[in-house]
Amino acid sequence: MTGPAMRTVSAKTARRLDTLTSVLFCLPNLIGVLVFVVLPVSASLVLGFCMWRANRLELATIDWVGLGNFSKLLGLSTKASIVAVVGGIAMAVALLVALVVLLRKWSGLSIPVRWAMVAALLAAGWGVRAYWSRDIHLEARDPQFWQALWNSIVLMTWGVGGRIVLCLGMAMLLNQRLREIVVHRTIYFLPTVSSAIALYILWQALYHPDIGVINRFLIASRDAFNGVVAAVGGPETWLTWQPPNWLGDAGTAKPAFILMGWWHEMGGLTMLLYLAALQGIPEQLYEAAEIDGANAWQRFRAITWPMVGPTTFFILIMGVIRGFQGGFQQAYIMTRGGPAGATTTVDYFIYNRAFFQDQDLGYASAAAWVLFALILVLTLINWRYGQRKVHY
Amino acid sequence: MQFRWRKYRRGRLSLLQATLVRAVLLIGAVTMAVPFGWMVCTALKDKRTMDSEPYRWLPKMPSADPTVSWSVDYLSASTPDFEDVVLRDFDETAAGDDRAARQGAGSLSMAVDFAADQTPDRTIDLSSAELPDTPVSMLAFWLRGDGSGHHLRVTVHGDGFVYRADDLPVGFEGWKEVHCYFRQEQFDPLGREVVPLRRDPPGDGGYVSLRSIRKVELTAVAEPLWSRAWQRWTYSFRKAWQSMPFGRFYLNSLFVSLAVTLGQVLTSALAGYAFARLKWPGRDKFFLMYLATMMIPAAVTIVPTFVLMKMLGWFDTYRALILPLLFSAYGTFMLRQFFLSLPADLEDAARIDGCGKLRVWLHVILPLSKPALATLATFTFLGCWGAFQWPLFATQSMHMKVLPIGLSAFQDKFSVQYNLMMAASLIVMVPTLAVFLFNQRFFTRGIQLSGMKE
Amino acid sequence: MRTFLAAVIVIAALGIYLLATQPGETAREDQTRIRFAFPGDVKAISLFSRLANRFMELNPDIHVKLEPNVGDFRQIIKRDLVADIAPDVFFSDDDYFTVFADDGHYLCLDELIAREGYDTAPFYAPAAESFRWKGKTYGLPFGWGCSLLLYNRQALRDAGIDYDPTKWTWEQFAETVRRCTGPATVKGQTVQRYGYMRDNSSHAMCSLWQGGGTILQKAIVCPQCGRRNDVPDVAEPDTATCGRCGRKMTGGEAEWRAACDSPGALAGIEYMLSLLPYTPRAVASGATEMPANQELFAIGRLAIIRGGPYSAQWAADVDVDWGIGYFPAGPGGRWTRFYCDGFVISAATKHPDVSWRLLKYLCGEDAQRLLAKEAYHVPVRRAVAQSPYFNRPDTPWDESIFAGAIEHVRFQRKIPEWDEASQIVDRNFGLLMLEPDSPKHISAAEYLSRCQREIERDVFDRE
Repeated sequence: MTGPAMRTVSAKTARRLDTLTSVLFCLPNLIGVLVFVVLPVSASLVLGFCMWRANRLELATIDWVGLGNFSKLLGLSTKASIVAVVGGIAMAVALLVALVVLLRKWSGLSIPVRWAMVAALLAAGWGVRAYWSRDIHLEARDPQFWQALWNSIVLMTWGVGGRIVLCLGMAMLLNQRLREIVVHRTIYFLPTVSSAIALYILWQALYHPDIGVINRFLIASRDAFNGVVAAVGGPETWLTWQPPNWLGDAGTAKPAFILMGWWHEMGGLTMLLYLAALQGIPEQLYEAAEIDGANAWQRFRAITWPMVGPTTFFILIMGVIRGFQGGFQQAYIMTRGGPAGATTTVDYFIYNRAFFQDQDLGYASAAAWVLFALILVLTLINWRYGQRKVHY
Repeated sequence: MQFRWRKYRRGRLSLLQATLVRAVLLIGAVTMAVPFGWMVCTALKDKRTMDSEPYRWLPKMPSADPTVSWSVDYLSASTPDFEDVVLRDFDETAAGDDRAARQGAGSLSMAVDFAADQTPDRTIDLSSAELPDTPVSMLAFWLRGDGSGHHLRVTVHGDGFVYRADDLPVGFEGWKEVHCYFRQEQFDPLGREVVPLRRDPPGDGGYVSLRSIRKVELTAVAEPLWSRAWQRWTYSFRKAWQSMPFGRFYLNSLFVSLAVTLGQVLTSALAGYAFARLKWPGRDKFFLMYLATMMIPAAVTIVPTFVLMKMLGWFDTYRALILPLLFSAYGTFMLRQFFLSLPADLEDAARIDGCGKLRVWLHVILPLSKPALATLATFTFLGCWGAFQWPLFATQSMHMKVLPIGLSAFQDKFSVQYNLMMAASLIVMVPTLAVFLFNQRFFTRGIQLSGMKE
Repeated sequence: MRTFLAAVIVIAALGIYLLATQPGETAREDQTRIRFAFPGDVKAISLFSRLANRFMELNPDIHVKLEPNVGDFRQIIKRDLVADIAPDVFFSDDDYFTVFADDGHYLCLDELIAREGYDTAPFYAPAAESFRWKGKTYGLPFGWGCSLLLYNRQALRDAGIDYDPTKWTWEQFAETVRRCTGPATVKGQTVQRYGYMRDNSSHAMCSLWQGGGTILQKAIVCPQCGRRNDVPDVAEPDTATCGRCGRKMTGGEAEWRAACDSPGALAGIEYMLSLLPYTPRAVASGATEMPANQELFAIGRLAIIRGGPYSAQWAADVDVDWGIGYFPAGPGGRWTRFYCDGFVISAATKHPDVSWRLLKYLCGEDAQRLLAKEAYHVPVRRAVAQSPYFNRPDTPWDESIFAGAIEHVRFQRKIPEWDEASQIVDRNFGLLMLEPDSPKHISAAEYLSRCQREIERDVFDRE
């Protein structure tokens, strides 16, 4: 097919044809995404600047408010003096700069110095936080939004972090050549194939402080322990500890959600991704390391961890993106936003404001776009940071 | 590096290592299994068994006694306008609101010992009663069951016809109302025990004239222990299935999920390749736009998408359920990353051989990407199977709804019916489990996501 | 490749089957078609399909298409109303009735009622009143309910309580709850028994009313002398008398304000809080609370549980000898909450007369009889509620209980602003019910003053 016969078509037309076929490849997906995804998303962007109580589907019911929604969402006010505020900002900026400097110089520092710097930064951070909350008492126009943001960050951090650790560990365990591995893989994968709604209701029943299985087990263990102590000659009811009120106590609601999230994800799709990555590591590397006298931890740090780096990177990015966007169904079914808003994530906040509480779709859209901005920033940071780590 | 299935062969584990791994896995498996165990055990019970102390994991087996001791009371007929005509009130002398007097004092006792060969029939003879000639839609009576699980057979004899029914398993204890319908009615499977009657010879399915009913025959039918245990344990499953048209929901969910999965995998594979390997103007900008759309929570796009569906006239059709989900940026993103990781020399070789883009894609790229495609297919299928918010908004008619909506029927603002909910979700779990088991072999063949750098 | 083809074939086959078996148009040419929507729970589907079928038998010129809406009915019906695809006749909860009525989504029924002389006297007065707004009738009631107490007779006997559960006062009830809490013997085993269950936000309001307080206070300004008269929710300007000049305040304006910060309200909330040590621990979501408490009651570990007409079915199955009592009477009287469900006609309907016929049937005697037998709500027609149809012979359930309860139900006019106000109340209630050592916990006084302040500021836009 090569040779003079090819020159019957001019180079420019050939290029045009080439581009056309390339675009054709992409076209079905592109058109679909433009119509069904980009269009609604753009509509929500416009709505972010409007107030729409949605009584009727008429344009007249949509009121333009400009930046009103955003200022209501993010508006912060304080009664402190200018000097105090400037001082506070200066302190926070100094802290950030110190953090960045530390990160850059991390590999060059010895271990005791590292720990010392981390401790110093933590102490300084705690001090700055105390200063901000006491002297510059910030009042938000919508305190629930900031609480939702904090909840989302906490749940997502523990969720993604825990997931990476647990799923990697699980994958390493399930990668062994044992006969019953397939059975285990299926058991661990069960939560993923079950209906999420049913699992939330299941866990809600399990977490009940009096008749839930978890607390029954804890009470029974405590009573058994007390029985043993009494039999040995100790006092009758030595332990009077009450098992926690998982979902009803504002302090334990988030840990309860996190534990449940770990249970769901332990053997799920993340674990499968890690499993596949592990199976792609050539065993010559491990054999070479063993010959060199490396122990298990060193083998893990030097070989396993970097080799699954790209997968970790992918999981981190997707985890951040999806983690911030989820949490509605969970909170709605299990706690309705939690004891005093402890389990209200930004997603729940958005749904609540859109459909239940204020029913103002414009405000909810504004919140969604603030979330978008946050996710974008985090993803960019992730991407940049991840790039440097993934090259091996 | 070759992309063949490669097992992590590190030689055999030492005994200590193997035991340690097994122990950890066992603890983990127990942690996973206990909640599911509770789920299954709850699904096997009925409400009464659930609320019993001390807590039992499994419901009891029915008693092996070949006896029943039931009571029947208050036979009545219901007119089309929902008035009750009392046919036989065995409780003539009951007075006051003492519960015992109202229930037990004068009822028709059905105490039968199958082993002793006592007659299992009780006949309520209505031929002598002066009954009006009103049409009735059903007969009802109160039955005090003993939880044995033996069957009750109801036969209604009339002038020139007989109404028969399937046997009713009497697995409940205490008084329950039994409705025997002459016609096809939408009954409430949770509140009552229902006996749909079939006419013999077949009739027009209309109302039955009260005067033409001669006698009602109640027969106790002995059932073997295993059958009674099976019926007791599947009580919640049967009731859950009867509450909602789960058959239709199943097929809807299956159809929508499969269509979305197929469409998404196809379009994402095409687009992923275009973004990864082909060059065309604006490629990177469009990709950034894709990424950006992933970062918007679905909550705020539901209403605009709904408005779009309405404008297109697709509301309450399968198109509304399938098409918006068919095009996703996640799939394109994931496959693009995967395609980037494939070595370019394979494609170059194919191009030099004169293959057009399509053939390269079809014959070179796709076969190499089976694991990634399988992963995407599973992700998408599971996501679509469990989607609740969008199908709720996009459908109106009962025959268009999908499984998660059906599941939510067992829960309202004020209460959850645990046994039914767990039974229904176990029923719903089966296909997804099958999909996973089917796709198992792909997962072990190495999903190389090493191409995450870019 | 083979998998792909197989998948395509399966999908195509499924698609064809599903489209072919879609229930087609079952109405005949000469029939008027109307759509009827209601919450899609199992009981409701059974109830309304039987009613609709009978209605179609009696009216062969009408075809009714049933639309059971599974899920949050308010969300779905709002979607329908906003998108102009509303059904002709649909269910309405008194919670959001005024909101949609104000938005003009409901058809005003006064003309139809006047034209036929439809008599609403057979209905219980608060039920009929629930579907009137600003002097106009927008719907007909179907069933009502209130909150009652179910008590474990044995538990009260064990504790030596002999108060009449339908007449007890605050002090007597508190004593009962206190004495019933503690170790108890059930079926030979010693268990920890609780006296009562936690109140949620709406039942805390009942305590607030019992103390003599209220959340929103209605006032009518007399057009003659200008005095602002505080009136109960049910009073309307046409029938209310001015306190100063003694004349009817026809033409007067009704005003609403927040009035939660009163000593009566504080007494009520503090009474409710005083019962908390004798209740099971808090659970965050309402949906789990009830089944868990039902289980505790069924196994004898809870002496008194809240119930209503909706409890009839589960309570009949319970292995406990129970009786029915009323909420206790406080300084402000005996009060319990009242709710009423009914049906409305959409303002955009094309067949108002036919829809009206369906509406009349649904609220007519026959339908009420079936409702009574199903024990879903209390029928709104007094005659049917008093008939033996409503009583359940297998339980202490009987209409006289509800007849007595109607004397002390609190009719609450749920104005459109109530939506937002109740959100504020619920949110602050969550803070009130936190553990006392939790940093965000607020006291009863703080709860009421916050509600007062925030309702005045956010709902009524008055600082």
